[in-house]
Amino acid sequence: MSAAEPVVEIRNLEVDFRTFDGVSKVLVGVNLELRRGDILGLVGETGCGKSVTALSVPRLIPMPPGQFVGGDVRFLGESVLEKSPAEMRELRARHIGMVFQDPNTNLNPVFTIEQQMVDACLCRLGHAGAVTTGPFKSWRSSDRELRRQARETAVALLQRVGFPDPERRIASYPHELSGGMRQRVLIAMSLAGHPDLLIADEPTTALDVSTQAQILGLIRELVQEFHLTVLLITHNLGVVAQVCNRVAVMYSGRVVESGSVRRVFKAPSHPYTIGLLRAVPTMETVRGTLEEIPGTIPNLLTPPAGCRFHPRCPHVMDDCRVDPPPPMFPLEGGTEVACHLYAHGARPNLLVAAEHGGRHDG
Amino acid sequence: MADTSPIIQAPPGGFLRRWQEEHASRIEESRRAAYRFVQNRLSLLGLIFIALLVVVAITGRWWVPAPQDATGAIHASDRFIAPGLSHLFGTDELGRDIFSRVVLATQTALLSGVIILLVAIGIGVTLGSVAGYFGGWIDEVLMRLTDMMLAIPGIFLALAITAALGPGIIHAIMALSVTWWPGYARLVEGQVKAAREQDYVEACRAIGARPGRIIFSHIIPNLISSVIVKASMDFGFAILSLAALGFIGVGAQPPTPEWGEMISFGRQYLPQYWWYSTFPGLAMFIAVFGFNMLGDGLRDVFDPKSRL
Amino acid sequence: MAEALLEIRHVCKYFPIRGGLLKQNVGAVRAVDDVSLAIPAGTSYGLVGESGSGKTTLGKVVLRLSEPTSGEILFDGQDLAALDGRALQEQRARMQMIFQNPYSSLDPRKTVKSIVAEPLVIYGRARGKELDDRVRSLIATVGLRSEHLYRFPHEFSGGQRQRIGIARALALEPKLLILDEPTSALDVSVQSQILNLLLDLQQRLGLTYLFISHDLGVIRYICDHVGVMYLGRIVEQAPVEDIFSRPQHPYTQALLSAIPEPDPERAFQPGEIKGEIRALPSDYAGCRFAPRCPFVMDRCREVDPPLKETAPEHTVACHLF
Repeated sequence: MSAAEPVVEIRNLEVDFRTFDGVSKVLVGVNLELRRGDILGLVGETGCGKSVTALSVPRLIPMPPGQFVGGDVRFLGESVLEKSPAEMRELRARHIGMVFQDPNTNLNPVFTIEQQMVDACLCRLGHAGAVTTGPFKSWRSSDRELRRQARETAVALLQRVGFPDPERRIASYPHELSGGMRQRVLIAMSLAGHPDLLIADEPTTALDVSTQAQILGLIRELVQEFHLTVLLITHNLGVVAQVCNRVAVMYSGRVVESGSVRRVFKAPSHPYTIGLLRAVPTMETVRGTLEEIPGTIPNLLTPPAGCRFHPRCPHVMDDCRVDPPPPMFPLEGGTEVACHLYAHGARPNLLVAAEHGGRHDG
Repeated sequence: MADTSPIIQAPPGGFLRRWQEEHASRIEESRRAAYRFVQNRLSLLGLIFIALLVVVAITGRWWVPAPQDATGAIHASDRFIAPGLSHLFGTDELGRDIFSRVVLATQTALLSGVIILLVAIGIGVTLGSVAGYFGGWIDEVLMRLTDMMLAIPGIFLALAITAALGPGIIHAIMALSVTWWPGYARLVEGQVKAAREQDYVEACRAIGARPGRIIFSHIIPNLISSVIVKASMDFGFAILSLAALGFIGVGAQPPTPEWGEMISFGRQYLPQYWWYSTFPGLAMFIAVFGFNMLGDGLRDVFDPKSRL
Repeated sequence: MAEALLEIRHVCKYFPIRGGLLKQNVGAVRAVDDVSLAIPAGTSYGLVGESGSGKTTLGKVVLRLSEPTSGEILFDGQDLAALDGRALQEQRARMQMIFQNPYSSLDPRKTVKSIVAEPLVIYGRARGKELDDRVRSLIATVGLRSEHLYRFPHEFSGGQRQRIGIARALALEPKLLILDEPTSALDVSVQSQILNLLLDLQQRLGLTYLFISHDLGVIRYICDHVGVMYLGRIVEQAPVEDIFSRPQHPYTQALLSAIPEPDPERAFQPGEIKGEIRALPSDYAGCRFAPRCPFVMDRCREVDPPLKETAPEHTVACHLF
């Protein structure tokens, strides 16, 4: 695999959810690319499809009601949509690590950290037959040896993620640990197979600020050390700004803007990105000047025609109400944006400068 | 505050349109519930069975061929006629038409089931919600009483009660009613405890609502669905238990038709006069099966996790 | 300082820890420990802290949803802790709470109309046509439309539900609102709508806010005064600009440095404080932050520092000052 080849490549992905009320078009042409070493922040609000997008890579979208309708998801150059269930299990075990929002529900409360970590290590290293939990525990000496090695790996990983005194505290049950510690355990577990890709779905949302800072610092270090490519799903723009090098902003089933974090945060191009950045109160925001994006997120069963953002967009034009946004339009600095304004040759900096009032100058 | 913001007038339109507008969400909700219910074919079947039984129970007395057979008539010449055109389900040892008796027993069974469960739910929900809401020693006392009741086999207790009061359908119903509530008390107590921790209950306290209002206006409406599910599943068992008492001989007394009592008498004539026990048994099976399936369907409807 | 609408004096809330066979008290969790603060009418007081700091418990104690173990709560000059029955009920109408989770704080089986009308019904403030008009005007005040009246909470988005919660809280025309993380369950664009709505309502209706949050950005946007809580104690209290420009307590400083700012050019230096908030033994007498403090001294582990005024209206509980 060449260095230039993307780890994840999502092309025009369309996913529907079929429900009693009708077909909900959850993703309508998502384009996303992760290159080796990228930490891509996938940002968006509830229901924009960021989790579904991320789950499409390990093919974990619940089906039904989910359904792939179009497009392709390629992982390390191969389409995951064509793989067999066995190949997918292998892929998930060996190449993709996942960390979820709620560390309480992702650890089994009846097993110790040791049992769960050892199993995770064994599975991820391809020795699922030697697992320690469940009724099929094997007593073969070779398996016992494997388990001993797995335990060593587990302790080393826990040590690495800053789990205090792992040799002793690995015997704890999940409820004996704090939220931050449980999240560390999950991170350690996801690293066991030396995955190529780490998918972190709101990994710090359930944590306190100071714990969040510690976990984010840890993720930044691990990326370097394990040569990870990270897909970080979050709604917290601060987290993206501090941890990621690239960002993709989603709105209602579509990536509306993507590019380097520096570029997108300094010179956002899509009206939604602009609105989003101005809606976060920061240390500089003057009281009463926080901007709102009017309206609410669209209902996916009856989305607005044309660009789904048009009812809330301050720059709406006639085209926006009729046609879906054009394909990603490249701007200078590597940013890509899906917006009619740019297809019509608007100059992005003009757009920003004209509105640039409240946040930095105020 | 009212003077700082515009007062919006109620929308115009006829009464029917107003009603429709105000209940649009409830109508939509019912539509969804119906959809979820019919998703499960068996529960639909259960509903059809129950509907049939209810119709039979209510109208039976006007169209059964021999209504007098339920009130003590004897036809010595017609003993043990096999099922056929003259007697659909055959006749018994006193020459009574089994079809008529089975149909008329439906009314007894359903009515008793309703009474048993209403009494049980009344006692159980009241005790359970009081125990769950107030907690502390009230909870301890009420729940230990419940546990005690649960520890005694219901049918045993019922047997004891009917033995003390004397046999008879009314006494059997009374006995089953007072043995049936602990399950509801348990269920409701647990749910009330969970609901009490909910923010919306806290919110009610914050706006100054008193316990009575919180329990009856907020907590009970939210757990009534699980009570209904349990009740529909229990209905079958209540009918079975009543039949069991009838079978033992402490329930309904002849000539009142009752399935359990009929099976008990028919048992003596097995296997030669098989129809005597079989048809009441079949009716009982349909009732119990129907209520269980209905309960399953209702659970699908009410369980938020199965919502699409 | 103007007349305080709400004044809390030395309020404590201990939760007994029961253990052993006979469930005797073996200690206490000091959820709120000797907290004093005052909120002048028409202003906003921000209570910042992480989970387990006791900020939510304090909010509930003020409303008497939870009984204080000791201390005085003066609302408009009246001691709430001494009231009961009818008098408490009357005072309670004048302060309302807005909850963190807009999904669980509304009864799923009630329509918007009956949710918003409930306080008015309970207090018998309006009936029939008048009630209907009041509810409609409340709904309009928080930016909802009258066609929403007969819908159920699950038909709304998080932001709209929070508006319903605000309408319910405003129904009795309260003077004080206790807002417990009102925007932390909401999306960014909706959060800004709700924050601006709250500011607008405060101005129009002259409300006083006790704003509980862990989000310092939000606190800074809304509040005039800030108190930082750590394990049941207020460790620093100051006007909002002071807290952010001159944080003094090591915990406040660490908290400020731990916020990831949405600005990639502002370097993020987390990890100054190690470990996590953890309950201390009941007989621990020192500064509660000492086990995690980078500047810890011997004295910190033995003596709990009192709040000291270091600048006008700026008090800190730390031996460094």
